[in-house]
Amino acid sequence: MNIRTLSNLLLKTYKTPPLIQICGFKHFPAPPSYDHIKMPDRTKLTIIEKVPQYPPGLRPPKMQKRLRYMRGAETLHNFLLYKQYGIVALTGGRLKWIHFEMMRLAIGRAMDTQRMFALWRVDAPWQPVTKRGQGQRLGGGKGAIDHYVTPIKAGRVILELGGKCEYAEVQDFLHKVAMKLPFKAMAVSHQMLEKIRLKEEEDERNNVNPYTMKYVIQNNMGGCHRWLSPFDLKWFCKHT
Amino acid sequence: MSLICRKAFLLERCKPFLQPKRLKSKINVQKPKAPHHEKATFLAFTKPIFLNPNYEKRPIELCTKGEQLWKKDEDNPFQRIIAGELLRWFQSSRLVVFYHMNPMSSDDQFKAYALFQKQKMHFKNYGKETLRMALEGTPYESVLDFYISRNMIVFSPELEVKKLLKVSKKFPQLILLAAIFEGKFISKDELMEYSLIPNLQTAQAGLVQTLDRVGSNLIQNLNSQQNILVGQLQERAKQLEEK
Repeated sequence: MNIRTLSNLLLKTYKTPPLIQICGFKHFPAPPSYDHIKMPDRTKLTIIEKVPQYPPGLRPPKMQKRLRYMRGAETLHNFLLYKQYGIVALTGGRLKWIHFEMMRLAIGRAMDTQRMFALWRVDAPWQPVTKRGQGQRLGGGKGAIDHYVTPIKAGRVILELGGKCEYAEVQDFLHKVAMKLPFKAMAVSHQMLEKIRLKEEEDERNNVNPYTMKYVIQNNMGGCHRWLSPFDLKWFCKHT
Repeated sequence: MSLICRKAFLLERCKPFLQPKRLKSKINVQKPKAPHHEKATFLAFTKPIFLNPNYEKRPIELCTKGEQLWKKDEDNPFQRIIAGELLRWFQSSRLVVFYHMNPMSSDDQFKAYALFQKQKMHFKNYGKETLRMALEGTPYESVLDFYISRNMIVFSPELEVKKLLKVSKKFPQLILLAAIFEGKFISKDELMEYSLIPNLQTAQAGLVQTLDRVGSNLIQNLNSQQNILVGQLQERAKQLEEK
């Protein structure tokens, strides 16, 4: 077999398929219809109060830290009511009044009030946080109430945005607002949340490792109950 | 004694001694503490393992290069309208001719279009998808087999085969494949035969001649001997005259 026949054979086996350039039919699909969306009366986010209103004469009560309000996953307010767009917290944290103002102003400026509406999915700050005063020595009782906060758990929907708009339009400013929050958060759409849930279920099914944290903890393997905290026992080391 | 009594009471309730565990350390939600060695070992051990779904796939199956190219529209209303129009063209024209189109410049294409237009013929180009939409389920379905590469169709309301062939001769890039003549599929050779027929009268005369041929052959055979004799006698007479 000489070089020519060998090269011909190689060319035959490794020939690239010919690509014929064709132009197809132009398709201009109809724009999406927003007939099912009902705009509420108030489209902008309401002003959140700095201090909760107590009945007159009642001294504002002080409260323990109660970090348990930030630990674990949110089981109730973890879905979008209007099934459109929103901001979801990825870890636990606390929202102060200043964060509320930041969100209200940023979204108020960026959104189109004719086509979109926004609403809060968290309470106004209610949990008192006390501070002793700078340079104060220990003792003399609990410090005075400095400010109020709203504790947030992982997976909580902070605010929702809806209306006659696409996710591409709102994603930009929602993401910017999410990045400014004191905890990890992300801008989401209903489809994204569904996708994430499906992926979690799929991962659970496709996991080949028979030893999951849940299995190990439930069976007290390796005597792990000795060093596991009650939160780990409940959430299987998934959240802090 | 008391022990025996106790053992006798098999349903004696056990009152466990409870000591609540108070966690002294306060957690920081934003900056969680790194897990201790044992916990870290358990976390690493229980990490999910996924099998690679692409493990036994060949490179050609994994290639996503051409996916965007072959993406098809689910439903294009404009294409449906054009397909309907195409079917009406098929049904209304007496002669439909199919060409394979080798690459030709738009100038040449337009010239062909213009020349066909002068003969009142319609030179059209459709894609396979549109054709499939129009002809699937109709008697014209076998036309789809022609559509492998680029194709052109000529619709003619009149049966002017000679003029059509004259125009298409000028464009070597248009290769005639087949035609539909009065609702009947014909090949290229049959179309050439049809082109040789000048008009109806001549065709009728030809038919009459074919029918007569048997009788005339018989007469010829019967008279052949006499004719030969007559011919030879005439030759002999000529020879005698020359002498």
